[in-house]
Amino acid sequence: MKHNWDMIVVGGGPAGTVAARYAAQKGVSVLVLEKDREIGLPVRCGEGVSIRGLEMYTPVNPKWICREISSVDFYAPDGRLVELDFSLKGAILDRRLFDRDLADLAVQAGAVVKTRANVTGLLLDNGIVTGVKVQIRHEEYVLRSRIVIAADGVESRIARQAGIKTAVTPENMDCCVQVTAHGIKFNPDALSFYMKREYAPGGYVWVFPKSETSANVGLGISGNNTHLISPYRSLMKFLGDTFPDASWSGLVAGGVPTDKTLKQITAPGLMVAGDAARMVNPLSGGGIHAAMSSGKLAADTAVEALEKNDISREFLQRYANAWHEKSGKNHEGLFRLKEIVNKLTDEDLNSLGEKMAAIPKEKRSLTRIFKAVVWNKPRLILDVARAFSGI
Amino acid sequence: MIKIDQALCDLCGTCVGVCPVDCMAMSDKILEIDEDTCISCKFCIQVCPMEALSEGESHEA
Ligand SMILES: Cc1cc2nc3c(=O)[nH]c(=O)nc-3n(C[C@H](O)[C@H](O)[C@H](O)COP(=O)(O)OP(=O)(O)OC[C@H]3O[C@@H](n4cnc5c(N)ncnc54)[C@H](O)[C@@H]3O)c2cc1C
Ligand code: SF4
Ligand code: SF4
Repeated sequence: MKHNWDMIVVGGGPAGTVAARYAAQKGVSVLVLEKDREIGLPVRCGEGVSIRGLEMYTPVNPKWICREISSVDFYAPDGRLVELDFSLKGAILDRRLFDRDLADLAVQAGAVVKTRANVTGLLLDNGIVTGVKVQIRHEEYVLRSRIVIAADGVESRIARQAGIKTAVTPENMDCCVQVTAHGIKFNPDALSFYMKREYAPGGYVWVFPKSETSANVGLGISGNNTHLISPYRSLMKFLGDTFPDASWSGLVAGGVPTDKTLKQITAPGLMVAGDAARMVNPLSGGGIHAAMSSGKLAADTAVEALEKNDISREFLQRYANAWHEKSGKNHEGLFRLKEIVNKLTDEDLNSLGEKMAAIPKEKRSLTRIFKAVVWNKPRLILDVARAFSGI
Repeated sequence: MIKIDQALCDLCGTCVGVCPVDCMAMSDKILEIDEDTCISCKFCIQVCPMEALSEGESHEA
């Protein structure tokens, strides 16, 4: 294996492989290191995305799409169904194929992808990141690179070595479990959300269709609320209550950091992208789009930095600026909204459901929901005002 | 001391993401805790979706 690279990417998820592809296309020599034995496995994801969001960063292979989605169904705690028309075209992916193909596209562009390659540390020269230490089988290799991209997902250990604080508090970690349930009766054309606090305090249950009769069924609970019920136990209860006849497979655990984006996402020679940088939509927990978007932005800056031979933090700040310009404000707003929505009780959600159901279906929009939330709970008006005035 | 039940652990990394002193390390096969660095804050136990972590005598399950 070559020991000197222009760019080394830690992590073979969408953030890492999209960054690798865009940089390799510009002639940068790129190595992607992934600790798992295969790209795309295990799948720790509900696999819901907006197709338009994907198309911004890759041609979409129809094979990735298990199911197209035309609406969103919310179930209030009392069981009331509120349907929303989906204005964005949605899809449920096959993430195993999707992640693998994104890696293949990076390879076709000239990148090298190595699996079973566990990065154990950064090389630092006077505070400048100059490469990585990686364990492959029993061997430890020292690989040099001019730029490192930390796209190492929820764990986000790599950036810590460059002095960036990436740990989130339990409150802002959604603790998830998911299974694929088979032989269920449900709406196979909708993303279904169950908002009941009994199952998911500070989170929600999702049912995302994989076929007419099967779905990813999972839930996330804020780390602050797991003392009320553990995610694993809660999912088993939900399945028993809702789909008592279903069989299920593919039990996976996962963490979704629903925090604000890290204050610092660059260091000399280093950029942090995707979940590692805490870029997930904090309200929905969706992070595929942000991972791809930040991967592309990091690659753009990497290419410029290599051309100008300037890997200083000041230069790499262009990446941070580009991210904040594109998504920063929106992300902060969603974080505040999450804090508000997490405070709603089952009673709040029930009366919200009632109000929403009274609005004709074609007029139900997220803005209306939001307004209903505010009307519904006077105390919230204050919180919302604060949320948007930036306190 | 934090005990890992390797039979329940799914290697999902959620605990690693909240450890404030970065004393947890994970490969594709095993999760390990550096006991000397651990400050027993129990954040990891709190966020584990699988009930794989608990307080115990030794970290070998
Ligand atoms: C249960 C669950 C459901 C979700 N559902 C959805 C959904 O429906 N829609 C949506 O948009 N998002 C969803 N998400 C979020 C989404 O999965 C992530 O936001 C997305 O995968 C982030 O991409 P990434 O490239 O940043 O990180 P990841 O996809 O996590 O990739 C990081 C990679 O880095 C590797 N790695 C880590 N450390 C090292 C190391 N030291 N050396 C080498 N490799 C390393 C990991 O093995 C991993 O493969 C869900 C998440 C969970 C947990
Ligand atoms: S959070 Fe639990 S299941 Fe996930 S890696 Fe840690 S101990 Fe294992
Ligand atoms: S108890 Fe705290 S310090 Fe110790 S491993 Fe868990 S999270 Fe890290």
